[in-house]
Amino acid sequence: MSETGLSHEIKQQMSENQRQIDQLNDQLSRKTDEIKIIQTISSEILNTLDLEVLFGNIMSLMHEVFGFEHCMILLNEDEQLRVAASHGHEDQGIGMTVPMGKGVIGTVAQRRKIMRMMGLRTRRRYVQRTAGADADALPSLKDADSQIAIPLQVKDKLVGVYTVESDKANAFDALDEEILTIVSNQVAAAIDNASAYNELQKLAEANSRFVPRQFLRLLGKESITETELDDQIESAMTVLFSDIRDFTPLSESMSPAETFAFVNDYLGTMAPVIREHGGFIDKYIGDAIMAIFPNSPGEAVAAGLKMEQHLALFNTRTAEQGRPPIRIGIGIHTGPLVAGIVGFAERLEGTVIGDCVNTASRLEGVTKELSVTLLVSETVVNELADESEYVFNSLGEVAVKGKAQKVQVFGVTERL
Amino acid sequence: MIAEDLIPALQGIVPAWIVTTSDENIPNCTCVSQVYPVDETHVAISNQFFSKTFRNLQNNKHAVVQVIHPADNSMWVLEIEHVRTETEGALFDEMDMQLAAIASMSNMEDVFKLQSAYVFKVHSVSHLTEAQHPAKSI
Repeated sequence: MSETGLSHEIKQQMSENQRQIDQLNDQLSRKTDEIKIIQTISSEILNTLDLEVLFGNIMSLMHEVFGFEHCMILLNEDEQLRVAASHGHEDQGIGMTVPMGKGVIGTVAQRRKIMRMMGLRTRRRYVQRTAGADADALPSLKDADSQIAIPLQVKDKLVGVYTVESDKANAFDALDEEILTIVSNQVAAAIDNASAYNELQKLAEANSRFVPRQFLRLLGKESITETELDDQIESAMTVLFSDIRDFTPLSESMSPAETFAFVNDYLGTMAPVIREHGGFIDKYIGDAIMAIFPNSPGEAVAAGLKMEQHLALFNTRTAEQGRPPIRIGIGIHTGPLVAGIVGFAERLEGTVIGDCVNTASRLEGVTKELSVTLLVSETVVNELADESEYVFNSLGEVAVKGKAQKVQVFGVTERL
Repeated sequence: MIAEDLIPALQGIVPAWIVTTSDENIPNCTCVSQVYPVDETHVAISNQFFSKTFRNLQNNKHAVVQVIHPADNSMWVLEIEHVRTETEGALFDEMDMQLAAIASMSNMEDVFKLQSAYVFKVHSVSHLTEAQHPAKSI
């Protein structure tokens, strides 16, 4: 072989070596990018339970690092796929749904397998021409020509579909499929985490409607899961009792369903007042409300007066439905109470116990005889921080069962 | 045999043409939506309707297929030979899934059903250079 031939061969070999080095460098840089994005996504998942934020961040990252410009994440909801997030679409399509087995996304969801499809436009045209049918409107990039869709699964459960589209005919290769497979596992885990968390939140919210948060706070607990039988706390609190007067004859004129609707309408008008004034409802007893004001008797008195106003509004409203007005009685007393958990291991209830409860109930009971709506005890008047706001009208003494001493009672009106 | 560079031509971006012959040696040329890459020496086409192509292949297993590379519209001719027909397995599933995805967009999933995947051995791949520079008419 001549010298020139040899040097030519060496040159060729060198350029071939360089090409291979470049190729390996490319592969290495891609792997580095993959690792980086996986780390970032992992920490995102740990740091946020808000799926909307998480999806947005993941899709932006995938765009930035791998150039996936147009992505969508759909969630499996009752065997339909709903667009939960989109990136790079002119029309976001949030909330649009795809039935199982429909189009690329629906087919991927149904078969639980990744799909990479090129030349979408040509293929769609082919079917449409042959079938003479129009395509259904599905959420998609306008003029999409390539698409990868991957099922998002946690164990055997399909939680959604992640899809990337492009208006280029040959946009994705096997490497893209690989990276999406890795990322989609993480996205699926995040969706599963977030939905478990949301479920827990819903449960906690439902619980708080049965056991008020304020009651738990009184016991020094954050959550109902921390409560135990015998948990208790003793403290001076104010009890408000209210009841619809002559409700039994009224309810006899209604069907059971009507009674329920009526009571819920009434409680829906009255109960919010308690909360607005710093109290919470310990329990409903039919149409009666027993509320606790842990802070000050003043809040209970203000709430009682507000309930009177709300009653007037309620009566105006029901008069339009042809119902007679109702009257209520409210009794308020303040004193030492024990709030705690009672019952037995299998059936617990949070409640308050004390003489004070009986007295408030008794005061409510005598409002009818005394022809007033709101009746408070002397203790309440004495404990008010600023009694100048109200006018108190002494209505004598009331005997309370089991108590030797009679209780001085007062009617209350706002000072004008 | 099938270089990586040729893969984009086997993605169904531009339809392909296949030529088969009948038992009387009458050629038949028809359009197929995709020639699927199977491995380095095999490709596959989908059989949705029992057309003349598939009838012809029962007599003569040899066929010629022309695919177009979407990057530069270059044409490639593959000499192929039918070696087996698959009605299940990974290849069949993949082809079936793609067809179902497209057909379901037009509610045609019951019509466009993959009957079988025809697998061919590739004997040669050649670049159809003449077609690249068609004679200009003056």
